Amino acid sequence: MARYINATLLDPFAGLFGYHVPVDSAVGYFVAALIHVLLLLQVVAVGALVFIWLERKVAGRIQDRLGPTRVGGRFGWLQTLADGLKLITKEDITPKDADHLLFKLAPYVSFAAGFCAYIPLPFANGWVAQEVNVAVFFFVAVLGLEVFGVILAGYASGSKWSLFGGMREAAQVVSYEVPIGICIVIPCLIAGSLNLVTIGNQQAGFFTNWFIFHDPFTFLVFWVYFTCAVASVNRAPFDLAEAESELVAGFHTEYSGLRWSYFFMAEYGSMFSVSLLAAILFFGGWNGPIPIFGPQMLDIAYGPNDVAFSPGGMIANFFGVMNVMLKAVFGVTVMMWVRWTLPRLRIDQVMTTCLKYCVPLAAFCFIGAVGWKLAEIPFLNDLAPVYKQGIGVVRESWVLREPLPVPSAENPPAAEAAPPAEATETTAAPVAAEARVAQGGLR
Amino acid sequence: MNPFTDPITVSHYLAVGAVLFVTGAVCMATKRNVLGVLMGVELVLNGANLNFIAFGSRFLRSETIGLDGELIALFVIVLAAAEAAVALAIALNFYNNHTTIDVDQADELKG
Amino acid sequence: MMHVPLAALDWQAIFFYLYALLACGFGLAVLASSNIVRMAFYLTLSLGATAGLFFLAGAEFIGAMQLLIYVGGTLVLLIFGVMLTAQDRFISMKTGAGEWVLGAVVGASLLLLLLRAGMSVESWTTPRADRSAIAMADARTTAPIGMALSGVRVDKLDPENQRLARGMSGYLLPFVIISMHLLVVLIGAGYMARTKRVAKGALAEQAAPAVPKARPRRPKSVTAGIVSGIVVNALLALFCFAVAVRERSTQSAAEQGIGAWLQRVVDWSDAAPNWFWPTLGLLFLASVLLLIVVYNWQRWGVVGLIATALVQALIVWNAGLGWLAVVALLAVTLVPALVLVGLLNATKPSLWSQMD
Repeated sequence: MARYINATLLDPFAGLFGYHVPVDSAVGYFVAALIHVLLLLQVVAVGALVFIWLERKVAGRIQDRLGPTRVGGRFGWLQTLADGLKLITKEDITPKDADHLLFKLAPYVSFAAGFCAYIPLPFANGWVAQEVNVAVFFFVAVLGLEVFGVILAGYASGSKWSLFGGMREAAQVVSYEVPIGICIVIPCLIAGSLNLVTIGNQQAGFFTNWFIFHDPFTFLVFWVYFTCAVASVNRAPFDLAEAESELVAGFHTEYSGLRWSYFFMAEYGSMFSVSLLAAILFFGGWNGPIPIFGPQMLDIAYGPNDVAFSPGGMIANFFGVMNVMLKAVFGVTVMMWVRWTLPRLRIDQVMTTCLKYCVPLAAFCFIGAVGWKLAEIPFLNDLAPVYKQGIGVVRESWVLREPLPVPSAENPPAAEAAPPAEATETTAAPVAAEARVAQGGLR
Repeated sequence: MNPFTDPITVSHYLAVGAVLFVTGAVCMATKRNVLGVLMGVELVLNGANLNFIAFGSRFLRSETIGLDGELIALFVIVLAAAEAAVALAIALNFYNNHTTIDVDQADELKG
Repeated sequence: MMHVPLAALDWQAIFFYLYALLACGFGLAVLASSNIVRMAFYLTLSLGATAGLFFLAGAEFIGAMQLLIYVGGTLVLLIFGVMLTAQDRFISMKTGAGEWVLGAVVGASLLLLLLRAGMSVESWTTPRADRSAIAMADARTTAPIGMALSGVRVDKLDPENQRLARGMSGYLLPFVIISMHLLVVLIGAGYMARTKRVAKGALAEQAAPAVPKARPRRPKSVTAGIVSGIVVNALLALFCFAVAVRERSTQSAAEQGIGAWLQRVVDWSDAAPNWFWPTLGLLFLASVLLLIVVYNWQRWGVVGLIATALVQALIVWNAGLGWLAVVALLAVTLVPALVLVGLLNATKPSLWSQMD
């Protein structure tokens, strides 16, 4: 995108003044980065807006009332805007005992970590802020940084109750990182890559290709992941850190006005990002239930090796974005639904759920999914496969194809590289190739 | 020579690693709080890790030690985490027994 | 400032200086600060900047690991520790000026030494020759790292030095060792840091030295019985082991003295399996130990004696040495055990009831 900006936008513009902007220029990169950041900020901010309104409506309906109905017409669309205005005009209070630097810094740390988690998340095929090869790993790592904002807020408020709330929440988030890690690894091992764009593309075709239908263990793992994700973002029934009846508001008791709204945006941002991750890992991401734009029907989507611009591809990607947003928003709605239905758990119940139920279940499903994939037992994924997943789908150039001669003085071992093929399935070759790698004298 | 146009070499990374290492060492030597000493240890290990990564990086030189550098850094990270856990347990026990976290008070072999 | 066209700027250099400045700056802030919580926060930022440096050097897996494990795990642990001990008087502890001077002198000299060493090697100060060939594919180290940890070095498929090719093993052994190490360390740390609930009364009890329980007087017959039992069983164990050694020795049979006697026993027990004599010897040794247990007022020693006698009889009968051997064995082992039980119950009040 940066080169495109350089070549087609900046160069003619600068040409008017007599300058030449080369394709590699840094200006294009900066502009492209700025555009990505603005788009993501818009997703987070408008998302928070919509979700707060949605939460109040959902809560109202579950409690047999209407929710906001006055601001902005019959459905109260602009209620959140009014709330935001109120928060901005509130007095900014910093407690006397607070550590001023850390008190003011904590909301930004929390929000920054939550926002950075959107960097590796793709919204359509290739539409990602930065395509990181270790995308899933990066996401889990950055999500773990959010706990710093919580701890700092709890400590810097200068009150014992905030400290308790912050410590409890930090313990909860950090404990639930373990089952989340195990659950996230399972779709990665089914796809054979940590790259989220690859994982999404592997689920192209009919909805039976989605990884949640790969084997019953993955189906179970999705529910475990959802539970752990709800716990990780401190939503009910795991929200004892903000338990209004016990700790007033936990770690953000002393925060008011705009600072508090940063915490709230961070929370809704995290909810949306873990739902988005679940949508990409388990529910096929930007692939709809029926492959309309794919090669089977309209055939206007981008192919695996397309680099040129095509309007059909852009349309397909737009619909992909709509798909993935719908799935993620549905996930967030389920989180809200669960919040207003279930009672809150105590801290020891929260820890019990994590350590006694989620972790063993996730580990058991991990072994089950690995065994299922190794034994290549067919399941729903094989009904209408587009990209068949063998055991070692050839994606790395160093997988050998020729048997290695025994290394001796005269004939050094030569490795003939297989061309990196993203989509082709070669069940026989990788298994045999792995066997050759093992016996090919690589000690 | 404009420093911003010269390419980065391994020596640049080694310099940063050296600064982190020395900072950590002085931190270990001068802090009175046990947890301050622990932070010094983390800085020292990070300086060493930076060295390993620099030697194994393909961006910085043509002939590198390759994956070995990254793998050693990986093992160092893991071992540093384990060591921090044990050191914290010792520090907590010390605090519970002596109600102080000052290393200058830890001058008896008893208890 | 000299006019440098935008295209000539080395952006890797600019980002390197940015991250390096952040890392070193926050590291020095850790050193300079005296507030423990702020030190923890600055350390977090310093380690995050180091992760950025890792990404810049093309080690994306290690960079993500640094963020995940170091920043997200170790530092959270450290901050927990800080919070648990953050009483008012411990939050800011200042160091004396003399220590600062000493630390500064040693630190400066060490820094000079390291910097000089770092700039000394030619190969370290020259950048990569073909900088245009640097590709993102060089940074895709995740799968090769995974394969190396499983034992296959896919990055060294065609080594230049053929003689080193046989030594290119993977990192499987260190990987397994580290897993075991982590398990042990975390269990140990979790145990060490557990909350110890000690009630006030229990403390006083633990402070007083343990008083041994008062035991009744033991009649001489019982003591004599136990001691003679120990001696006899020890001699029998020695005898069994001697026969076993004789059985296994390959030298020609000695025709006089003890060797001849032992050889006769070996010939007599030819039908027995070859674990017969060592096992019998071990059981006699077990009887010795059980008699010592009985001497220490434990009841289970007596039970063990009877059980050992029965097991020995079973073995002898199984070995097919004839019922005479079984009877002889029982006479030597079981009968004295039963006599011991009788003696223990003979006194009034019986010693048996006063053992535990």
